[in-house]
Amino acid sequence: MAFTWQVLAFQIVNGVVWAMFLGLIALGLNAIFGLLGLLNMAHGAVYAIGAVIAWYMVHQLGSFWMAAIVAPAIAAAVSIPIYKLVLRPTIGKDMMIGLVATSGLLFIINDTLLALYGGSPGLVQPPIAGGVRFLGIIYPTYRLVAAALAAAILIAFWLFLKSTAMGLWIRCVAQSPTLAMASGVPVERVYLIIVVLSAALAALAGVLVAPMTTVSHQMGLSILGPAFIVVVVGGLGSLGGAVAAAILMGIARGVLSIYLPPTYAEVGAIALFLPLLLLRPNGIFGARS
Amino acid sequence: MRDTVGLIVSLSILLATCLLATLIGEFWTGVLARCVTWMFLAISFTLAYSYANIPSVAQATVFGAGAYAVIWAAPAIAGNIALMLLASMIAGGAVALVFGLLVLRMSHSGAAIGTIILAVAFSMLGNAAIGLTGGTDGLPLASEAFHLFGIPITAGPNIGMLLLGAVLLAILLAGFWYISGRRIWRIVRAVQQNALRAQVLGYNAVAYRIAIYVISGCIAGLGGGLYALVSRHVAIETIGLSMSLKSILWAAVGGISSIYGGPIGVLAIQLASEVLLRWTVRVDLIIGLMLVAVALWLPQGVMGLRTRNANWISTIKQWRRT
Amino acid sequence: MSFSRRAFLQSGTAAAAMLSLPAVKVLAAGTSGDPIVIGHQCELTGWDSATGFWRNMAATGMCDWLNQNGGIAGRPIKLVTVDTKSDVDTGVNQLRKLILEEKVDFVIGSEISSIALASSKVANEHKTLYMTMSTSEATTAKANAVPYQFRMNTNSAATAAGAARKYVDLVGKRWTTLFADIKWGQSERDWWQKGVAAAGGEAATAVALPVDAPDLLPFVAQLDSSADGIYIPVLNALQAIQLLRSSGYAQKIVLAGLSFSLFDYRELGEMGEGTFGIETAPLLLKDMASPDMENIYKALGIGADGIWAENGKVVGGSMLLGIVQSLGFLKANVEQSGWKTKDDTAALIKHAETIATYAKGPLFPLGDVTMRAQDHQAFMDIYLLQIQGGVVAKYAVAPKDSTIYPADVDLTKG
Repeated sequence: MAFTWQVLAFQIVNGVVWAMFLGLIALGLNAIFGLLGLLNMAHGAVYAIGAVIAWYMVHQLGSFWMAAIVAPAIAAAVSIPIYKLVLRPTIGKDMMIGLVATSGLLFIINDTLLALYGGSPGLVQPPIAGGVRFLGIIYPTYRLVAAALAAAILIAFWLFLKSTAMGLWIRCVAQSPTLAMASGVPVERVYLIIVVLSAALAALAGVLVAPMTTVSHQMGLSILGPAFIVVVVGGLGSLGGAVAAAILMGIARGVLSIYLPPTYAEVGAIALFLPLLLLRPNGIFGARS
Repeated sequence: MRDTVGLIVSLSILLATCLLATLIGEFWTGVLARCVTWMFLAISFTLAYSYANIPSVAQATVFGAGAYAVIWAAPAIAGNIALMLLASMIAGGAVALVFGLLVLRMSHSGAAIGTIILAVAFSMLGNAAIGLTGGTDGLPLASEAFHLFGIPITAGPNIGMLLLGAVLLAILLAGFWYISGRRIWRIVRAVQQNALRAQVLGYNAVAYRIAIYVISGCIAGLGGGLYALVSRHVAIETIGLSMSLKSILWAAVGGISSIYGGPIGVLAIQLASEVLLRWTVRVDLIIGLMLVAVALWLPQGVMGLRTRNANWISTIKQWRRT
Repeated sequence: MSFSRRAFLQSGTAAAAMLSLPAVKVLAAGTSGDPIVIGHQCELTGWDSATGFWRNMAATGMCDWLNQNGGIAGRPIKLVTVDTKSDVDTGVNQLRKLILEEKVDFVIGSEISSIALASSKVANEHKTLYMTMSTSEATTAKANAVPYQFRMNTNSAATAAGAARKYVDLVGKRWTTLFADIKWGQSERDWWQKGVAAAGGEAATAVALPVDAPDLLPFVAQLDSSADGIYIPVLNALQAIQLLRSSGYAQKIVLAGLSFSLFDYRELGEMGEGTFGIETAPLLLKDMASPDMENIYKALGIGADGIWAENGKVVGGSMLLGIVQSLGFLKANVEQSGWKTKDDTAALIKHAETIATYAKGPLFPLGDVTMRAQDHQAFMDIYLLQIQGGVVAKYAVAPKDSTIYPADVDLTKG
């Protein structure tokens, strides 16, 4: 691909737009990792559930936006018993125990999706058709709207953390669950709320991304790697850090793909984070060790 | 501290596996031969995680390096299995050395992600570099007259390869048991438990961790080499992230704190899958339920049962004394 | 909420069906003697389960149908299906199980090339005939060609050779390619570009799509917008087409061989209009003019519009034909060579190498099929399909002779 400033600008803009979705997917993963210390392998599967619900809503009821309410609600409702029965007993134990439990959930969700939804991939038509011409390509309007929505959700979550009592409690627990408990913070309730919010946001991310991807029972697997990478590179518990890392990854992929064959560009975009992890072991914005 | 019971348990299981293989026919022999190669992978993860403090999500990449080393070396060294396995160990150790140097100074979670990055990157590159790896199609093992120190051995999922794998694994486990009673292992444990404190005491913590990780790489590489000889075909999915994830689950189900747990974890999960496949397609669903059950009721894995039983026995003893 | 006993039983049956493996069936109307056991190494779960679903449906249905119509050489057929989980290790293990434990006489193999490559050699060692379902030409080329393997399906080289010529003649001269950066995608790209060049067209720069790339737009945006058409050998073709159309690419789109079996084309909606495909079978009965195919559709419960009544989905037609022709090959050769037990399989293969053409008939419903003895590869007419007015219809046919490419081995000399 010949280099032009137009091409570079397009790749940067698209990198930022996609970063909003990756940031949204990573949000719940980050919260669960940061607060409960769990590497939630099932997070991508919940995202897949959101996309599959969007597919059913569009095909059965003809309403995409309804899915944006129904999918998070279902994910939130199901996450309560899962938290109580599966996740709660693994908190505070070796990282591997949580990993085994959530991998189990991943297997269960993936296989159930295959049994119910089937192996054939599906497509969700974007609820907003058309595109805006800029930088030499017609940019799908839905991408811009969905990215704006994702950004709004990320800002809303940030405001929730900064300006509500629950947000304060969450930040307290993230710093030290013991101190938080000693200060009267209902740590148990904070954990539950984080799990519910995380599941709801993952499902919502699945709904929003569904019209831009192929809906399949295994779609959550490929997103898990990039999501984990931005969470850790951004700094555990740092919302802005994950988004910044996602933007960095998106831009790097786009810019590198101008100069390198795409596969090498993709590898370069993630390999870029290795030196960053060496220089800042706690992530770009991570302070805690 | 030598875990003699752990050694006896794992060796007994290996022995039982070999004896069973002679009774239950060619198909199961092949299944078990492949399982033994994966046991090396599970053990290598335990070693990396529990003793080098590197939660390596790229162990399958190291395993794959060993497997490809055998595929590449086979025609050049005319079927000399000893040399082929040596090549696989060197390949595994070399890849682990590079990975170790890259991720050693990272935080615990950083190292996990660092290895994910490496696994994803190598998987993508391996998929694209078809000339070298065969990509998704994979590469076959060249047909050679394979021999071990002059003794002819047929490559493939057969009793000879099962025995070779089992003997090497038994030597490895016994060697580990021996080393774990030596002073040097105490230093390894000291470094693993608190690297800073060990450093203050004058031990080069970084060198110890790297050394252990490289050894874990040699073990994974050796497993990969055996896998290539058993499977006679290596495809790029062997080195993928999902294979690494499998190795973590095997290690965790067997018991992550004990090196002797890996073989049990491999057998538990793989044999369960194999048996379940006979009557249902929902194997993953059942394996998923099994993993959740292990996390809830057997958090220390199968090897953890021993401490649990030991606690139970001591409680009974105390109760009888009172 | 009331919950009737009938509903309870139905849900129980549904749950059992969800859990169980496809049943092993022997229906012996008009047949006698020991059953001929056919193993099916199929992708029932995992990433390739979309196409595996149709192969399983076709194999199960066609074996039932054969049993109701005299079986093979008057003997009933017993079909044993195993799941590869779309994974090499499981796939090879399950093949060994079919051969060593189920003692199958013949195997219908996997569609995944890595599984097929590793399996064909295992089958060859155990002298078990392996009817590969893989469409990678490499699985029957050079050292991978083994005596006990036959392919009654088309492959990448054949489809590209035949279809590229037609597309260059009928649709456009200049073609760019968006390919999955894996073995299959690269091979499809190479054969297509070769075919385009041979037909006097021009192959513009191809763009690789990295494995598991979540966002395709950065790659789609690199496609040469001055090309007449875009050839797409990618696994997530649905997403690629949607993105191409929504970002303003108006070029003709051709999906790689057998892609219409990867998904239900109706998912594309209006965006799919005009999309071309390369298949071994059309979808609509009216495009086939074949009473034999009509019989097969009827027997399997497929409507004239190519929709399977049982789940309302569009049938993977090329998957169906691959299975039907493989069974046709077995039936013809077992009956003609006097095959009785597995010991006779070597003689059956020798006999099969003498048969150059399988004439149009009940199990070769779309026309004569040529079998090349040198590499055991079949050649058949290739159908160029197009989504027209919301249905996949026949656009043109590339006759089987135009799909033949040179063989690089000669198994008859072995």
